[in-house]
Amino acid sequence: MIAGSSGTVAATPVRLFREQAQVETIGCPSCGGPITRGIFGSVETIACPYCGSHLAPQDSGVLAIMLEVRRQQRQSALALHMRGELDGATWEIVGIQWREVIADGQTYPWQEFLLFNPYLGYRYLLFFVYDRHWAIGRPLDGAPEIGTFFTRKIARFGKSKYRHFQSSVARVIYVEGEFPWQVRAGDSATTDDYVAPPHGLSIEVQRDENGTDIAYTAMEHQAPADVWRAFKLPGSPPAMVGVGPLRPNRWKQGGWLTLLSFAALFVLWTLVSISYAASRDAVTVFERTAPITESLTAEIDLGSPGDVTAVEIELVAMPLSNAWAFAEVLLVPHDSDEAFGAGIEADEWHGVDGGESWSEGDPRNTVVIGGVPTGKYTLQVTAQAGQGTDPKPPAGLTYTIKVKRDVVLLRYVMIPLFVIVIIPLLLWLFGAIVEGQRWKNSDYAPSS
Amino acid sequence: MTGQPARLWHDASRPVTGTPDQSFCPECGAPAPFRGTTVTLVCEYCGSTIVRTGVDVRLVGKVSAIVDNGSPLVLGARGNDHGTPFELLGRLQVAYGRGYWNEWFIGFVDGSIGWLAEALGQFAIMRPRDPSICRGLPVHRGFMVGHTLRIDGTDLTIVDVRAAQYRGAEGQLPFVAEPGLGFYSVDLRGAAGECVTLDWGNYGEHVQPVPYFGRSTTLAQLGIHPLRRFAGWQPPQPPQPARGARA
Amino acid sequence: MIRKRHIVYWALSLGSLALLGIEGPRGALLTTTPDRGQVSKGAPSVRGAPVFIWAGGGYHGGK
Repeated sequence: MIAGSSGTVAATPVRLFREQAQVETIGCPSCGGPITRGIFGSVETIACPYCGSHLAPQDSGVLAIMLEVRRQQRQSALALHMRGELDGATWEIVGIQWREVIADGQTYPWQEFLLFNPYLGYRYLLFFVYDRHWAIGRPLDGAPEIGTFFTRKIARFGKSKYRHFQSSVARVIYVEGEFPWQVRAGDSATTDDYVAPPHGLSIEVQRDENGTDIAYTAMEHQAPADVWRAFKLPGSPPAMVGVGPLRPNRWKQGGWLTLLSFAALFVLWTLVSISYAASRDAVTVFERTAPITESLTAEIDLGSPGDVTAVEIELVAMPLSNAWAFAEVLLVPHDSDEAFGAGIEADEWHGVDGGESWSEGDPRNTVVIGGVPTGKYTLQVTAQAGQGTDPKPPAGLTYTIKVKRDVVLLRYVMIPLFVIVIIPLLLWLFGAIVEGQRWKNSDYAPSS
Repeated sequence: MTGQPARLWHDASRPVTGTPDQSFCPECGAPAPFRGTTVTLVCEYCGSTIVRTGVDVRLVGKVSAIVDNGSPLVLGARGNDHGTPFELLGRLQVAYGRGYWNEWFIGFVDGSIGWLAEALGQFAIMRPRDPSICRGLPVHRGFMVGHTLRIDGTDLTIVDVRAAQYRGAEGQLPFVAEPGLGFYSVDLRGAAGECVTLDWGNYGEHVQPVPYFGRSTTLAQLGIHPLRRFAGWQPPQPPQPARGARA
Repeated sequence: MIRKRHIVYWALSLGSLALLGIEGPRGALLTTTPDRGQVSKGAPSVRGAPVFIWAGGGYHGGK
């Protein structure tokens, strides 16, 4: 025992808070209901879950009634004292705020669930009732730098840039549970939201008799399924409607890799196309002009045997005026009786119709036949021509046949180019459409 | 310039660690182990506040009892800041318009001191810097929430301007902590996570506040042990084995 | 992080480039399929070369 001037005192030092903190139940001074506490220690506001009155602990320890509020039966996505696993830790819902913003005559309500963990502090789980999106808020470890980037207002924090989405006045409509700060139904705060989906920055400024209060919250989009899994809720969560400010744009995911791939594939296409075109002989193996009534025959060489090639045959019939011409081309291999054949048609029609002259058809036509085995062939061309339905060929009509082997086929070059360009283009297009849907709810919608 | 700044720039010649000076509580006679240059000590046995000036020890009465505001920290717990171990030597509980927060006085093994600020579940280790970097700053009432300024080459936004009061204390503190004493401070934050507090002490008209710089951190990052236990909650880390005896 | 869309993009692009590289020189796809058929040698023409006549077999094309 240690004797002192005031008498005997404790034999061992009194250490505060060494015992485990217990969960308190206190009686509501307004309705007497037993309020089970969630937050340990003192808080600034307690809204009685039975009668709805706002209570505040005073210095003396007594719970004073700040506001007698009649409890409202309000829909809530989650209930007080529910516990869930988020961010790798357990959290308990200790307070619920119902808030809303009124913009363009429309009311946008949401709920803010105050999550508590005695070792980690507080988080905010937001449920936007109007579009059924969820988000998690964490107090920001600092303050962002507000600036402009070209014409847009942005907030910079850490290595990220957030674009200004909207300014609004948020009002508290109703509260339930406990809060470590003063909150009353009717409180309003000016909010500025900045987004970099799926992340966001929310800046809230509240002015009251104590002065100005500014709060920075780091927001992150949460998938409804993740919230349901965190709180182990049965069934499926309500499905999201539209594109919320923080909802990630799935068309933009992996965008950098897509762009890089496009660059690499474009270069590859260029190289392969040049190599393909350069290694085509594209040699004219036959070219002759004759009167339309005359057939043509020749021995032609379609390349060293053993390969397969593409052959281009061109027919030019001149002069053609309101007439048609048709050439039947036969390629007979030297070592076989099975021939390849193709027909080419050329025509030219013109006239005057109600004062306007018109013309159609082409006196020149080409056909490409592919998969032709290389080797020596006998070429045979027979032609016919007529004027309208008259099978008699026009006088003086001649035709030219030109045969080329191993030609460059542009269609083979264009197809990969089309694929390489269209895929990133479509991804970009769908991404832009989704972004349009996101931003039409912002302060920057084209119509407003 | 009258009035002492609330938190004295630490005199590194008298380290906080090492053998405590042997003084006794004038109220109950229990040992009052002042360490280094700590000025105030709350007697563990009778709860009286003792202030040491030079070799003299005097009673300043009982500081209002500390309110349980749910802090997971307890006096005497240890942790480390980027590898440098420290101990929680004292706590000051502060009240202002919006609630309570705790300022834990910490002593590092290298003899330096700092403050572990705790509010609404957020923690930051604050270290004092040379007050000359505050040259040219306005007095306390010249600061407006939301405005920006530059201190020591860092761009900062003013997030809180307050006049607060000491409500309670435990352990040891490096200044005279009289119950009910008011003090003036301003909190600033940076876009790279910088945490700054300017401390005018008991006198808001001081031209040069004491600046404290730090970063936001978590209990896990600080490796604090032991932690207070809460019914129905698992502590984040398993309890560390005891390092030496601590009565 | 590589996503499904990147794999699809690379697969389709490399596939069509392979088409260009391998099938391009042959030209068998995307071109007019020639009519194939037996021919029989008819009477020699003015030039002395035999005139081939479609003997049938295969699709005798036309417009």
